[in-house]
Amino acid sequence: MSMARTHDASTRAKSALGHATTLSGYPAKIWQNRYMVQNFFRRDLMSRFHGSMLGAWWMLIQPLFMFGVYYLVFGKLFNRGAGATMEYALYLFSGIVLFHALVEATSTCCGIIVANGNLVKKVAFPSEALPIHVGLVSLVIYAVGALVSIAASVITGTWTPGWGLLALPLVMIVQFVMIVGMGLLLGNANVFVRDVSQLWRIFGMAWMFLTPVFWVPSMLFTALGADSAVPSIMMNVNPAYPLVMAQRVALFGEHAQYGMVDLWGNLGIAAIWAVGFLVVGYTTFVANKHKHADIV
Amino acid sequence: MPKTPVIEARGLSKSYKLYNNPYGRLWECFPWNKGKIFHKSIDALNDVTFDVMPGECVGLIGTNGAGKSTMLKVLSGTTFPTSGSYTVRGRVTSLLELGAGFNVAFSGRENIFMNAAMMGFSRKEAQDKYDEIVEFSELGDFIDAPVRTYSSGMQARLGFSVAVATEPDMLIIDEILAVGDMNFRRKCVEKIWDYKRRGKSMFFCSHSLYDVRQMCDRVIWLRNGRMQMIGDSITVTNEYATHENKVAEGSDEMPFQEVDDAVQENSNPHIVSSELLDGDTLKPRSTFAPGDNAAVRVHVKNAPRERLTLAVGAMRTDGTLCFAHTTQFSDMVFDFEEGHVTLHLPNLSLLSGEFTLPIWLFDENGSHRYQERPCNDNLIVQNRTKDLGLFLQDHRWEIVPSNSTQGADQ
Repeated sequence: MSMARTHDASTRAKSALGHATTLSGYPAKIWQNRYMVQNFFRRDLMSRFHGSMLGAWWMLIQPLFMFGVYYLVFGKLFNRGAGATMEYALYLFSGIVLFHALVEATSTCCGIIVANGNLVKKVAFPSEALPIHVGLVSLVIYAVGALVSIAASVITGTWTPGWGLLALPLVMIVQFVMIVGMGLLLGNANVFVRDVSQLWRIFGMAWMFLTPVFWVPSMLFTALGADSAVPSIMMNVNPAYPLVMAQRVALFGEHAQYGMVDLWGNLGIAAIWAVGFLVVGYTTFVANKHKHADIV
Repeated sequence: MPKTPVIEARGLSKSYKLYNNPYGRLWECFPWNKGKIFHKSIDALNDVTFDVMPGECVGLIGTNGAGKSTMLKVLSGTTFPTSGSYTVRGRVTSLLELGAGFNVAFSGRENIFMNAAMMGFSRKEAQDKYDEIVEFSELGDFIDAPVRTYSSGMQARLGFSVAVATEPDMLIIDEILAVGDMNFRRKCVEKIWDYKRRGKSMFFCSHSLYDVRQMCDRVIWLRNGRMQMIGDSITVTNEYATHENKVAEGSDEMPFQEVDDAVQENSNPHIVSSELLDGDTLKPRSTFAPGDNAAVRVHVKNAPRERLTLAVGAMRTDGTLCFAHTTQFSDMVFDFEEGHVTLHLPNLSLLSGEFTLPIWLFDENGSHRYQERPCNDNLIVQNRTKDLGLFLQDHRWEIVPSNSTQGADQ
């Protein structure tokens, strides 16, 4: 008999460190359950467009339309010296696409155990795999958006994508790990305190304005003074900051006037954040997982 | 070589915490609330230890709230014990929550693959099993329609079909499942028996002591979360029946509901009436003496002309089954459309007591139960001798003094 499932209540009380060490087995567990993840993934994507006439084309139409709106509203109407119209629209759009993917995925993960309460209570399955497909779906949506922004950039001849594009998959991996880590953390917390998902929605909005999605870093210095410590604090405590910047550099190359510099530095910091979230998220999740079915 | 148990449970306990308000759990985490208790603990399971060997069918009995469901949930891995440990070897399928993972917006086909994936199937295994599942579920073309358009019976059929397709090493069953129509129910029961015949392990929880005796080698009796008794199925069910003062035929809810079903759906085989008769005159009679002749006559309607067997038993009011005879063991199967089946009990050997006479209507294998109900009359026996006990055993005395050289037996 190949499969054996052992559960000992006394070893469950092990230290956080003890749980954290099982993180190394997490990828293997996901791989083992890849067919399940794949099914969740497919179902998630399908349910987005289920029954609509245009189906998967909506994935492309949405970002295209969004880009049009941003180009007109922010690039043309409210462009207050942020830069050339097309450049700013691209800057804005690439930031929005990534940030939306991040916030949407983390919000989904936040409620995922509660939303799948029926499964958690009744079916024995590895629930720690649940954020995986959410992260994957988010990557797909992000990837379409990124393609739109590259296409827009090339067609309008604004910025020429360079070798940095090769780093885009790395950016996406970091983004994925960050989503899974945050997702595990929030998903577990929300089981115990349901207010977390509401708080996260509010926080997500505030977070967007704390991240250089709409604004360019240089605007901060203009507004707060060149020697203000605020911008660097904002940079250092916000995991989305280096991620958003790294992906812009990867997409469009370095443009110092937009703060788009230092691909590897930004990516490295984002990666550290992502791994940190994964460790903390995974540890809290597996340490409390056994309580989920009784509470949900 | 000693076999390794499929299930090893050691000192399993489970207590649920009931909080007065949803934030009790949170308040308890705060250091300034240390020592304060915001919950009530309910012990659903308390120090339960047992093994299930490969090929063994273990039953689980107990009254409502004894911890049976918790036990099944712990073994199927959806909830976890508060203390103690267990090991489950091999693939376990539980028939507890059929179709729990269904998403009603998607087609039956989608849901089969999804459900199979959640049970740990690989893509290949799921594809290999797909046809079998669809065929068993009898859903036909509906398989491509969204599950929300299914009737509850269809959903249950699909759930059952997926669950049994897993070829588990161990099957966890909560009551013999009665889903879908009569025919499908029979298929379900057949499938479960098929597992047993092929030597798979089973963990079976039921209120029906008949089912438990038929299926299980050993039985665990849970009482208030504790293991009251574990042993061979006959001993434990008898003890349980005596202790809980239950009629051993006693599935609490099912039989009488089934009677109603049967009356409404006259197309199914059912018992119309039954009466206790004098064995010689065939006139109704209820009080007998040992040595009298009795007969139980059962009026059966069987519009679809199924092949049927019928069983009649006698049960003392304390729940002891004194005898039960089925036409199946006498190789008598009947398929008339309407008629009487009479059990003759010549030379009654029961001693004083009042006995209910449960009657069961089975399919030809004795595995699917169409109906079970007590006979309209109770059997009352009054003995005129001084013999004690349950029944009059044939007997003969022999007295031999040990210093005798001659045989004293003449």
